[in-house]
Amino acid sequence: MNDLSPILLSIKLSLVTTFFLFLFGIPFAWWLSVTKKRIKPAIEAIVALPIVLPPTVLGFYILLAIGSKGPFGKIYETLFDSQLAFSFTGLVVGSFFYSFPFAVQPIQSAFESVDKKLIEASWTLGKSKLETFRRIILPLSKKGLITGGVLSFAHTMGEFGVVLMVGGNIPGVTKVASIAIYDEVQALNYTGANIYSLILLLISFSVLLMVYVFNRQTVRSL
Amino acid sequence: MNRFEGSFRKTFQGEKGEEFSLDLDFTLPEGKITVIFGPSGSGKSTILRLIAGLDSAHSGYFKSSGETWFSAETGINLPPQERKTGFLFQDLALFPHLTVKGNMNYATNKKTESIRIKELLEMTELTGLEHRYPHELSGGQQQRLALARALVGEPSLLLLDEPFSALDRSVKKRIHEEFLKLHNRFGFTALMVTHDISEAYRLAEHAIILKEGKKVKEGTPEEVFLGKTLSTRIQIPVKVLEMESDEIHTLLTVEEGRRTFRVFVDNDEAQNITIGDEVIVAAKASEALVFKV
Repeated sequence: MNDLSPILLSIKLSLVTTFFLFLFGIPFAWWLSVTKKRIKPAIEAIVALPIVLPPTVLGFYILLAIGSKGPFGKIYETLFDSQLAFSFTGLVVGSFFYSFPFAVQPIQSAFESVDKKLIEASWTLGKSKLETFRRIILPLSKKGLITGGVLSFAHTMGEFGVVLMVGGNIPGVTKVASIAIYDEVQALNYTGANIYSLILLLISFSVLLMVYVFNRQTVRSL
Repeated sequence: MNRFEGSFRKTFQGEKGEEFSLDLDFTLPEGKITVIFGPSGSGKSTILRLIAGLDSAHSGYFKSSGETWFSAETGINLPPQERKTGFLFQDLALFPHLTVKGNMNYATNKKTESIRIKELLEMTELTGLEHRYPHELSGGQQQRLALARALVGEPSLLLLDEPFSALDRSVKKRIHEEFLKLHNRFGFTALMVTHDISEAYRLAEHAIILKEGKKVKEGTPEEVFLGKTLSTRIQIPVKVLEMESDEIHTLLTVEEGRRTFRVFVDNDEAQNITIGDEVIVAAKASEALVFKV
């Protein structure tokens, strides 16, 4: 019987990462969708970088930033008296940046597709910008929010390069499912690798299936 | 009592990309329906957006009962939320994720009484449809919902941006009647922009003709659209469907509602009329034939 802790760790990492991506990604996506600043394309390009960069490159720079000698690593160590790299928190930081575009892009495009007239109508009905955001823009962007959330979750479940660079391979702390599979293959334990792989495959499939079923229902109800 | 007056100057691009400036001074008679009539691209919608606070002008001001909503000079520019306007958008802007009831409730504030919502739903014949979503309503019902929603918050000024233009004639006529009924009941001041002359003529109590951002005529609909007071004449707004000319006369086939009829005019008069134009056919009442039906 395989040790299930890598799978559970992957799920925990994905949930925590998705939570923070929503927390910071929603306001950021909103800002991107309304800003008229000329640097917007540059910011969008930076956000999209993790899509095209090799995960090891991203992982390398994050490691430099959060390692003991990196600027953020130092601050973290002073504040919490523990190392940020090779810890679960470090993994969350790495995953956050790695999955950022997968959360922000669908949410931003959902925000952008909300009819401007509906927003103006809400204003003329006396509702503040924040209330309009909460009661009109967010509900109408439901599809983009769900897509962003699911992609963040699934993408974090499947990451390998960034996790390995930032977190290493510490059982119970940073050894996630994708790394466990690699370990099993290295040890020529194909059965173990197979079980982990199958579980990951099933989780990914179920999550995607849920999205497509949901989207079908949304399309029908409109 | 509310009195609205304003003056706007704003340069912007028209539909074909040409630059022109809006330059308009106006007052809106209290409790009356004022209609701004003009071709599309004459800056009509911009006026409404300026009044509602959705757009701002380079210079000018807008006042409601002496309270300044906008003043380019002093920099006062109240946000749309603080201007007591109801806005009826051309494409209605009904919230698709909310039901009829939900759309109406959205417009409420603490002061609104549910009796008002009930009355508005009754008057717009939407009672019984409270749980439907906008896409489950007919075109006419959607229009009436948008109208009712705009009135929930008891706006002191109702702004209408060609809201009835997409409807076919028979539905439009009914909406017009309902709109007038609501106006009689609640007595709000309204400003409507339209490029439909028969609509302007039917609804306006005060009319302004706008051309390329400038006011070219203002007064009662009779004065504005017919050039003079013609109370002893029969006036029918119609649409020109066909034109046939001989050497002296032109025979116009025109449509009013579902009826079509023909009128003769001199070729000189027909010169600036083209097929599709909205025109007013007037005849001396003394020459009218009256039949009992």
